[in-house]
Amino acid sequence: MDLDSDIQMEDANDLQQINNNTETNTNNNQSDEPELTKSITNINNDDETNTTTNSFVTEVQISTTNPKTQINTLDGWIEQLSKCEPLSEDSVKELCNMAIEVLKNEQNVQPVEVPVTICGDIHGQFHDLMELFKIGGPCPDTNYLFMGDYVDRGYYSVETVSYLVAMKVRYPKRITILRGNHESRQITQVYGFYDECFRKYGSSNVWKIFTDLFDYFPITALVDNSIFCLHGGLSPMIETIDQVRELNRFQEVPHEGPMCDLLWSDPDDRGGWGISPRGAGFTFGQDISEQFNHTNNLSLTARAHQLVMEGYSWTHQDLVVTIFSAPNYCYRCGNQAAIMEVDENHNRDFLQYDPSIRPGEPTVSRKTPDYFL
Amino acid sequence: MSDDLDITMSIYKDSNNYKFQTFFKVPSFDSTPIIFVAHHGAGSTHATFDNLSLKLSHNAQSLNYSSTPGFFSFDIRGHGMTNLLNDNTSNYTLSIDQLIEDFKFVLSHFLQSLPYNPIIILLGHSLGGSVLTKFLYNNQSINNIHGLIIIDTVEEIAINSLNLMNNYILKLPKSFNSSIDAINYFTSSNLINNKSSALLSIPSLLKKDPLSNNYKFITDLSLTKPFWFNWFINSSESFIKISNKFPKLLILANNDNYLDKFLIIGQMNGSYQLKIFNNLIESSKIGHFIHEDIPNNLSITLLDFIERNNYKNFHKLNKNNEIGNNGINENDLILKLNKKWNVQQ
Repeated sequence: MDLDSDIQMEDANDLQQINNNTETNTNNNQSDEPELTKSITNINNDDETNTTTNSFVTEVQISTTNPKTQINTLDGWIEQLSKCEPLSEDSVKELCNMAIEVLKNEQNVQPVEVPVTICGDIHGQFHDLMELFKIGGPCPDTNYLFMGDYVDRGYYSVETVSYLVAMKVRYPKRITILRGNHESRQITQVYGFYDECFRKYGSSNVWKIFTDLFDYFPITALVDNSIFCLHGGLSPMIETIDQVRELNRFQEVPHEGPMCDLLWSDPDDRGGWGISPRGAGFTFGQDISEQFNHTNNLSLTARAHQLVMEGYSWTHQDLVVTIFSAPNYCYRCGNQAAIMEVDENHNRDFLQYDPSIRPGEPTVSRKTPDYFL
Repeated sequence: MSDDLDITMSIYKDSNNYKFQTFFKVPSFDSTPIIFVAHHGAGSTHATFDNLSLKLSHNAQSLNYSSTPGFFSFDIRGHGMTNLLNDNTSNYTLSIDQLIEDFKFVLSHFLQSLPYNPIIILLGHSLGGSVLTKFLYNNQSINNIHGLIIIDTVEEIAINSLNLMNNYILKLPKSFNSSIDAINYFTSSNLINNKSSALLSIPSLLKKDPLSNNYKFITDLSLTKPFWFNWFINSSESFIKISNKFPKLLILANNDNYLDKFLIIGQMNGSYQLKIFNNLIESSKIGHFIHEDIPNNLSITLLDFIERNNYKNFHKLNKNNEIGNNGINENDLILKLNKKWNVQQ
């Protein structure tokens, strides 16, 4: 069941599909919410065993039986979050349970259609995320693909990840959220998300709920069989995209191995594979990118993970692009941010932007130690 | 334990007759020895690394590594026994350029004294991290150096804290009745959060005043003040500009909000490894002297770092007894993988 209620061509078709399969006598007027509600309720209540034949219908097991309420709840949460007000712990729990139902059925290599706008690291810079949606166009009118690192370092990791997850549940076909190396229990304990959850909720419960959810995030996406998208980079253990499909991604990001590499690796000027100075993943040269893109019939590998001053940067000629969507990273790096629009004809356009104006945001003040020599 | 304490002490005399007291715990090895060369921070001495050095030896053996790294350290100009070997004029010419010159001299003298060609890992704390960073930045052709590890050296934080250093120095007791009193002062004021480390490091800061029988600081930190700013300025930019052929590791105690602009950019570009202990070690208080506060945890981090980057010469022998790396041979693996991917070597 898709909770998109916006009238889009593909959604209209999807709804048609539901209606046909359930043999309910609904008309094709999608704005007729009560009828739609009834049909979906019927599926969930009466046809449990048969729902597996239609993956679309079984994608979301909603936690209440009334999708109308569900949509209203989600819209309420999204509205609250868009004001940068965090949800209650109970709401976070409910939201993440709904998100698990959506995300667990996504693939390791989640297929995404064009047109789509591809985005890099956000890192809790909530106001810049709102700016991103202003620059790129509101979701669901614009389709989005985020390549991970929603949390840590910025001051609003909770609001940022809550917002994106709520949007994902609300518009599952319109927004894709991949996992970054920061969507991990260990990393978030060091880089801020854990502390922020504790500060805002008085316990680590919300951190636990989100980090458990992160295990369900898909790790890569494939845009129209042509652009391979992921957070970090390639893995020497992965020669074909099919090998990514075989991984078991439902786990904490491991310290090594192909899943770790996909979230940690970086392209490098040096050829071949190299030890990454980061302490995890590998570096890979242009020769590797050429082979990988050729083997898998790709036009491009798009990734995030590295701060680039212009917000995007080509490496390995035009084989790999880095996209970074957190302007003035950590409120001190002075970089621009960018997103990449890919249209129906695979034309690419980069939109760059600067930090949003944030009235009332705490200025960066860092505690200085008493002793430092 | 007696083995661990087996340290060779030598005095190196530079061309201006300035004398450095050095300390060398020899490595045990079959093929290529690995030696940490350490540079302490201002107001400290070589002994700040003593507990870490003990833990490195201990863990290299107990974790069944293929060899035990050596550990070379010295009392820098104006500090510890080096101070006592020289006159006060030369003790307080502590410009950053002088400290870099000193280190260059001490390192080359040390390398010449060895009957073998070791792998050197530079290890600096605070000011020491800045000296080693600036030294390596200007001397990237030295073949023996295979890594740079700096502990709590963050330019912007250091420079912002310099004002507070005046208060710190003013608050320091002028003398102690005993070295135990001094140790208690440092541990109770949370400067050092590990008594066994303080027992090793603090006595080396003090000398007995023959008149009063009290213990006084050897180094007068207030005399070093004119040099503070230049010690740290440009250290972060230099750190990230050192070639990636040198694996680099920055170790911080507390959260990464300490990082300044250059270190954040460098970290986000993957130009060095960052290790932060905050939240990962329960019930340990960690301050500026990370290597004294949690020497055991830090020693394991350092051993992991050299194993990752120098696997051929340093690795765990029993590959199944440890969670984590599982003995994957990074260098061999990369050769194999590059071959598999038909990379032209």
